[in-house]
Amino acid sequence: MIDALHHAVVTFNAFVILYMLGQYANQLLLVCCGWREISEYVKRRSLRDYDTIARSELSVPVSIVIPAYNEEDVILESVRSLLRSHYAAFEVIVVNDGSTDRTLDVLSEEYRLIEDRRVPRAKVRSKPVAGCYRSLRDERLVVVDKQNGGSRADAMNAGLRYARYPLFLAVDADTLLDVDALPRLVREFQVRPETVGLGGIVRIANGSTVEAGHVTEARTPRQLLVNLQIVEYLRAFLVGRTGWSRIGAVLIVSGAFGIFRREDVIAVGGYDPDSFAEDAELVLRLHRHCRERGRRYRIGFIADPVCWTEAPASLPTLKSQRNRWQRGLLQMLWQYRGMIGHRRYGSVGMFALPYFVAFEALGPVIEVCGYAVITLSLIFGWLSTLMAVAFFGVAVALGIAFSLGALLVEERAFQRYRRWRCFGRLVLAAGIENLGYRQWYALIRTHATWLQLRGRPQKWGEMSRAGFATAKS
Amino acid sequence: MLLLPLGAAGLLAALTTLVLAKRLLRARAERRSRRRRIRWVAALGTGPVAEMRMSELRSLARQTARSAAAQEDLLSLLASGRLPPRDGRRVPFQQALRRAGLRRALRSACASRRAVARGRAALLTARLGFEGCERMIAPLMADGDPDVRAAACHALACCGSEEGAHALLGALRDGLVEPERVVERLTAEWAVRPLLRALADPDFAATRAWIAEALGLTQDPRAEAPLVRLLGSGSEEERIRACRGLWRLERVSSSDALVAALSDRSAAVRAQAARALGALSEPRSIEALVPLLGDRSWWVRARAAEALRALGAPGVEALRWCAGSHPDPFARERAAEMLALEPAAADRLAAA
Repeated sequence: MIDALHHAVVTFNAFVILYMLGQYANQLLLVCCGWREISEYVKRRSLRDYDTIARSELSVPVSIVIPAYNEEDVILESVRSLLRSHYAAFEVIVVNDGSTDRTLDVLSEEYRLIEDRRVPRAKVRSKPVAGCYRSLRDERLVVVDKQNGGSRADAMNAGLRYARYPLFLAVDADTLLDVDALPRLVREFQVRPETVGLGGIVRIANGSTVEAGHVTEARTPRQLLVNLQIVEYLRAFLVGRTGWSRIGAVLIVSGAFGIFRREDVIAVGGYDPDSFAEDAELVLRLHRHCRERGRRYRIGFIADPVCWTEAPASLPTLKSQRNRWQRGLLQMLWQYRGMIGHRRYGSVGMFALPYFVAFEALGPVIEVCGYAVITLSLIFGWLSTLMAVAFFGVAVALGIAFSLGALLVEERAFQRYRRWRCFGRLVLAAGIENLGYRQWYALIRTHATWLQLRGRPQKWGEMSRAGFATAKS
Repeated sequence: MLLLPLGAAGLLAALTTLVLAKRLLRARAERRSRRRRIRWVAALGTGPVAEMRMSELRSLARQTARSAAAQEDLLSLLASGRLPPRDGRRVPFQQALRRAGLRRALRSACASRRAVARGRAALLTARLGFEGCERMIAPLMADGDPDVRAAACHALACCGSEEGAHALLGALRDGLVEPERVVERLTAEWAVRPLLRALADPDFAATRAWIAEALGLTQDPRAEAPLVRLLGSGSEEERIRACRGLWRLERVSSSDALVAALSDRSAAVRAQAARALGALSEPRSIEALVPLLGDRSWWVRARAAEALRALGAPGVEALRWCAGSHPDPFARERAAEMLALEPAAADRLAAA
């Protein structure tokens, strides 16, 4: 019995070493691709005339859709920020998803809403709309009031039905856009008309200076938890998504900041209200749609237009958010299992989806099992302490190295955090991240996987927000 | 066994050093760039030609011919309008740059294998206003890289010459760039004559609608007569663009043609004509707009109502009449909706 267990442990250890090597090789590839993509982007910045795009009457108009459920604290700031965008033709559609607080009232009081008999322009699934309103103060603002659909996707679909323009930008109610974000996004659709969807970078606003609905100086807060998330976001966006974009296999265009061609999204039936990763699910459906029709298309990511969001500052809120993300990912991968390893779907089927299954879906489970097995091995004396420490040390060091890689890309391209103190906090967070936070996160994701496998029902839950007024440090 | 953690620690130390070094080097590069820009402005001076520091200008130009960072600095100065001088110093300034070999360097960069170098050279050549820059840039409109094509388009517009406009129109005709991207560059006075010639040229027949759009954007009165003619005889797309052009020109003398277009067989033309009439402040058009509130197309009804509101007090009066007495229920509904947007009505709504 002990021998069999010993044999299993040794085999598992060998598997974990191979698995880690595979994971780090993939991440190294992504860092290289991301670095190249960002370098190219930075070099070409001076060729781009965003000012003309922002002013031109012939630029493609954009409908900005904000789903809002109980967002009375942040909705005004968010709408104000969007309406101040430097762009000639856009509309802002706030979808009040059956809020039980004063979201609709605060909008009505601030923007003097009157009823509008706007006709829906698309047939996509959503709960019934109770009313559509337009603002007397700013004709670009439209508010759609609907029954609560229990998901963000349902609200997005309602916004999509009432959107007028060829491009639609999905943003969260707790986000602030850089003033010149729209021309940067639209340019990609104008210069490369085959573009179907595009994501921009989401940065964390906690601690930054916010003036008149815009982040004027990026800063880091004192809370370690938020700084850890800042490093995590930088790694995910600057290294991960730019790398995937280079390969042509972007699977996630963040729901907090993603722009799409409206007609393509309508052609695939809009967002899936039953999905908890509705943003990634839509992207995957668009990939499938375009690939099956043999269409030349592009779903990409650009790191320059910035959207600022408020990160959870407490562990329970963060846990709930990450739980939802992991379960949404598993749900999506199961739904599209037919695409995995299928040559017809190109780099998405052959590379991105297998990577997500092996390293994003199963990764946390294998990591947690690895910790358990190493502890077991140490107890039974099957592994020397020196070996265990060396193994753990290498894993931590490589983890830190990839976070530092993300900081390096940030320094190369953007250098948003100008203060040395903020920069120091990020370097520190990159080091600490792998000593505790990473293990906690793996446990959360493993728990989420367990819940998903058992088929436990999932709820969206509510995120407690401090609001941007308090984001000033 | 110890080698592994030691190697990992070494990797971390190297990476941390690299990150810090990148930050420091970038700060240094920024300082150098700032100094270089100050040198350009100082060398040019603000006084007469005799006070220009020619040797310094030539030295900076030589540096620019060699270094990409120096080209970026010069480009940012040019884009901000601080260079080149627009007075008598312009010719000596250009001569100094030419003698330093900058023009020659930019010409060869236009044929570089690196896309960024091609695009940047096009923009620099155009903004510096070197003689014959249009001929250097025009071939880049057919470049394989979309960023270079966009930069060439921008550069030709920066030339601000009829020759540049001809090159842009050629690209429009040959379908090298999206039409909207060319049209938005042809909106200045220097583009009017080439546009008018192209409108009458059979070679440009397929792009006439876009030329009409561009003529409207120039807001030049010379465009009115050709646009009115196009409105009477063109294809549906051309008539729509002609209406849009006349809307932008805002000339009362085109109101008769626009009133006639209100009975066009195409709903899109009727809607655009109604919108254009709203911008003309011509009370005589009210009579023609009122029946349009009952048009079979929702868009035409909407545009007609908006136009009536834009016409001021007489238009609002007509809307009031329509809201109460128009025989068509759709017209009454649309007029009522539009009246709700009037400040007085809105105040009443807010009070309620």
